[in-house]
Amino acid sequence: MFRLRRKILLNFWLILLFAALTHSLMAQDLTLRVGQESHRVEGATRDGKSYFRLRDIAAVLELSTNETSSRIDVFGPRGTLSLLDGRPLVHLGDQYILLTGPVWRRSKGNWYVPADFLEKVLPGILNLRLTKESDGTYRVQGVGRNRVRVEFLNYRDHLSVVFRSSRAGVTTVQEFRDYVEVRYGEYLVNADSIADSPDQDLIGSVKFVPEEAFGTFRVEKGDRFYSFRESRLSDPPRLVLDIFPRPGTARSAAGSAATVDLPAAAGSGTSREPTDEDPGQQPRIPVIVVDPGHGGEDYGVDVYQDVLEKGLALVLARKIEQRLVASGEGVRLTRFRDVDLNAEQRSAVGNFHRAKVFVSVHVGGAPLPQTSGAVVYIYDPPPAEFRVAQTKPEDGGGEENDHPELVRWNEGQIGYLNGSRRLANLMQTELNKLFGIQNKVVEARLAVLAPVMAPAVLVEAGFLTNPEDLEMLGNDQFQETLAYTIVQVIRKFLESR
Amino acid sequence: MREGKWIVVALALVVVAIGVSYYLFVSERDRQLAIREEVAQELDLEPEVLEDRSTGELKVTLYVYRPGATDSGKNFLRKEERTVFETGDPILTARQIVQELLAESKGVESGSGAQRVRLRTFSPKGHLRQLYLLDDGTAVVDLSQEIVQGILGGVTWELAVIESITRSLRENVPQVKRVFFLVEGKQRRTLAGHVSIEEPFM
Ligand SMILES: [Zn+2]
Repeated sequence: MFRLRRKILLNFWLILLFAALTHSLMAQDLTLRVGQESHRVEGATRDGKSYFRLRDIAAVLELSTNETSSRIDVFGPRGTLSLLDGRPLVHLGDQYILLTGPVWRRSKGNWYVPADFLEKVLPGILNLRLTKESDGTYRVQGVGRNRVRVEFLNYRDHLSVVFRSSRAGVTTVQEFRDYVEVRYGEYLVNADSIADSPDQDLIGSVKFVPEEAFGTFRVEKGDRFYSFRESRLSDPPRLVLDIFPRPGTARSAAGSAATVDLPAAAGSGTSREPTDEDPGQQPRIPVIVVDPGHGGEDYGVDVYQDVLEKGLALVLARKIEQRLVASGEGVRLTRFRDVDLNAEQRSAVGNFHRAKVFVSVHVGGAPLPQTSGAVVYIYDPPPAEFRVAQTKPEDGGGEENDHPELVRWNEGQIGYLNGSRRLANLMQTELNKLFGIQNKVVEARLAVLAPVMAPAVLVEAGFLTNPEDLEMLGNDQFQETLAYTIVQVIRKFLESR
Repeated sequence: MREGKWIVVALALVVVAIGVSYYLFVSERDRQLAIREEVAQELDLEPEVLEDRSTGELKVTLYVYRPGATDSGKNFLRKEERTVFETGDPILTARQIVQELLAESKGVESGSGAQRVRLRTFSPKGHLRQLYLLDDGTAVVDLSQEIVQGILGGVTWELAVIESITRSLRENVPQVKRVFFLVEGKQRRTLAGHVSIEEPFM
C-alpha cells in the first residue's frame, strides 16, 4: 500500500513539474506603466518570438478595434492602423512598416502582436510614447508638447522661413513638387498661428498638418521659387529654410517694405550672407547636357571586373563633349570625375542649364549574353492614375490652370516626348548601322529622364554582357566612332528643328 | 479503515492528475492548431505545408526573359509552363509563381577563363521576402536586397526582373491588377539605378 501511495505521489509531482515546465515555455507577460498604475498584458511565445495580446494593449491605451475575418483595424487619435491577413507588413497612412514577426490571430477575435509593434507602430497612431523601462516593462507617457512659431525674414535676394521651437526635437526637411515639408518628431507640435508670407510669389502660405508625424509644416512653393537651403540653429532651437528665387527674377530690395535684418545668431557659424555664386543673376545660354551614367560607389554594369560601366560612360561622354565643343556647341557634363550623383542631381543639371538636348550615356547589361547592340531609351510616364501629381485639392492643385508654365518636377519630360522620340529614332537608326543590328527605341520609366525639360534620351551603347560588344567597346577607335555618330545625330536633330 | 482512507486520497489524486493532464493536453493541442494555421498563412512555401492546404494542381504560365530581347514590348518575354499547388488562395498562388520565377533562373555561362560568369535574371542568393495583395488589387512584392544586387547593371536587366514578375502575376492571378515593388520592406526610387519603381506596374 505504501508503495502504491509513493507511486501516486511521484506521478502527481511529475505532472506538476510538467505543468510548470509548460508554463515557463510561455512568454512573459508585459507590464504597461501609466503614471503610478501598472497594467498587465498577456504574452505568448511562438517560434521563439514574444507576442502580446492586442486586446489588453487596446484596453490600457483606450484604442478601439474592429475585426473581420482577415483584417483588424486599430483606431487611434492620430490615425488608423490596418493589419491585413495578419501579415507583418502594416499599412499606416501612406507608410509601410515591416514588423519582425507577423501579427498572430491566436483564435477568433484574439490577436497577438510582436514586441516591436509597441515601439514602431503605436506611436504612429497615438499621442503617446512607449519607452522600454526593462524587459517586459514599458512606460506610457504623453508626448511632450513642442510649441513652434513660424517667422519670415525678407532679404534682398532670398526669404528665410524660421521655425522657432520650444524643444529641440528631431526635424526632417523634404522637398516635394509643390511644397517643402518640415516634419517634426519626438514631441507633439502646437503651432502658433502662422502669418502670411511677405513674398507670395516666392512661397505661398505655410500650412500646418497636425496629423502627419508629430506635426508637419508645408511651405508651398510660389511662382518664383527656385531652390532652398536648410540650416539648424540652437538656443532657442530654430530650423531655417532659405528660399531662393528663380534665376533672373530677384526683386529689388527697395520694393520690399518687410525687409528685416537677421538677428545675430551668436556662435552659430551659419550666417546666411548672399554670395555671388547664387544661381541666376546672368541669363543662361542653352547648352547640350551630356550625363555620364553611374560613378563612385555605383559601378553600373559590373559583370567583368576590369570593365565597369561607370568608367566607360565617362570616357564616351568626354569624347562626345570634345567633338561637340569642336563643332561650336556649348556643352555641360553632369560629372567630370568618378563620383556618384543621384537621378535628381543629373536632371537638375539639365534643367538648370536650360538644356536644348539631354543625353545620358550608358552601356548595357542583360541577363543573357545574346542581347547586343545599342539601345536608345526614352521616358515612358506611368499611367496618369498613378502619378503623384494627382495632388489633393488642398495642396493647391486647383491653381494649376492659373499657372500653366509651372510643371511638376517629375513630369518635366512629358511635354518634350515628341522631340525625345525624334532624337531617339535618329540615334537608334545610326547606331544600328554601326552595330549591324536591328534594335528598337525602348520606352521605360527612367528616373533620370522624368524631370528633364528638353528632348532627352538615355543611350546604352552596346552590352557589356555580350562578348562581341564587350570587345568592341574596349577599342579606342570604336569609342571614337560611337562618339562621332552620337554627335552627328545630335547636330542633325538640332538643325532639323 | 486506514487502507480505505488511503484509497480515497489516491483516487482523488488520480482524478486531479487526470484533470490537469487533460487541461494541459487540450490547451497544448489548441496552441499547436493555432500555430499550424498561422504557419500556413506565413511566407512558408514548404511543399508539405502547401500540400496540406492544396486541393490539387494548378497550371501556370511563367513569363521569363527572352534571349536577345531589348524592346520591352510584347516580345520581351517568353512563356514557360509550370505546375504549382492549387490552394484557392490568390496570395499563395502569387507567391508560388514568384518563387518559381526565382528558381527558374538557372542562368547561362558567359566569358572565358577567369572572366567566366553565370548570367541570370534573378540571383540565387535572393529571395521573395513577402507578397501581399491589397484590397484594390495591388500586389505588393517585397524583394530581398540580393535580388537587386544580382542585377549586374543595365536597363534591360531591370526591366527583365520587373516585367517577368508583373506579367506572370497579372496573367495567372486574376485578383492582381497591378504590381508594386518594395526592396527590403521599403519603397525605393529605382529598382537598381535606372527604372523608377515609385509607381506600380500594370
Ligand atoms: Zn546604366
